[in-house]
Amino acid sequence: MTKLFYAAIIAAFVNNLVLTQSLGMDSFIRNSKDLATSVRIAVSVLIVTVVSSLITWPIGRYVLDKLQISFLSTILFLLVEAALVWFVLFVMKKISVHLYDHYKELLPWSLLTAQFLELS
Amino acid sequence: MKEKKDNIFRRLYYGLWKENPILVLCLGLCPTLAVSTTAAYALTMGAFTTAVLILTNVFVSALKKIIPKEQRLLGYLLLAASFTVAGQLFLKAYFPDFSEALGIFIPLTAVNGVIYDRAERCAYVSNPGLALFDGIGTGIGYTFIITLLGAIREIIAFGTIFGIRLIPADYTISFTALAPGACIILAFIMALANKIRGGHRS
Repeated sequence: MTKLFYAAIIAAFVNNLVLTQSLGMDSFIRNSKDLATSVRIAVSVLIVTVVSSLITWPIGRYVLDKLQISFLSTILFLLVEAALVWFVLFVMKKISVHLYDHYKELLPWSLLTAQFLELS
Repeated sequence: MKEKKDNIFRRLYYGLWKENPILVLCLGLCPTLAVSTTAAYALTMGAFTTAVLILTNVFVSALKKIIPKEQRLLGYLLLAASFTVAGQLFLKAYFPDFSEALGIFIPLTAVNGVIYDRAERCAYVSNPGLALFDGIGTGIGYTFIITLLGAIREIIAFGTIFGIRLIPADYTISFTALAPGACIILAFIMALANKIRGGHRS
């Protein structure tokens, strides 16, 4: 349990993506014009990152390593995430049109930033 | 934009200056800031991105009848990822040092914003020839700025440029080798470019 806690702390502060590793700068700089947009991009990045890590980790561990085709990881993880983004957009459209209008521009952005986690 | 006005030189000019991917569009910033610690790494990254950009542009443009309009982002993604993986393996085989040093940022080229911007705004709506020159112009513009940034950072932080010593090692400021240094120097370059352009950013 403490190990998990440390992992979260390290990821959030020591290896902070924006501040120390300068990853995901595009959407960070372009979409932080006002607070509302920033919060929206943060939420979409959070959703995509969490869910896609959950999905891509077993794929990477059990499928790619077993079959020794880890050079395909980039394409496969991207596909998984693209599918995920479409799915989240679809669900949002069903739940509320208002929400969908807000997020339809931003979720593809998060796709372009969220990839690094799974690769590293 | 009319096809007649939208000629090759215009594409090159737009990529290099008017719509420079880093200075005006603010795209592809994460490799720009992270990899440009030395001029040689920056140049390699720029060349790699340019190659992927040109290939993706040409193929998106050639296949635009086949790629469905609703799922076009997926089409760009697949094309860009394929070329990135090919390039990654090439770099690993022939330039293992650079492949090692650039690390995660080589596969990350597949999600570089520049590629999607150009595919969406130019390649998907024009013919392969124009897309080729758009790719070349944008790629050179990207490579030029990232190499400039890398060179400035290398001179200040290590006193060298492409490994040739200019300033004695005792008079260097290692701050610029870190991420905040990159942000500050890029801001200076952007400010200078806006000054030359005259007035506000469009």
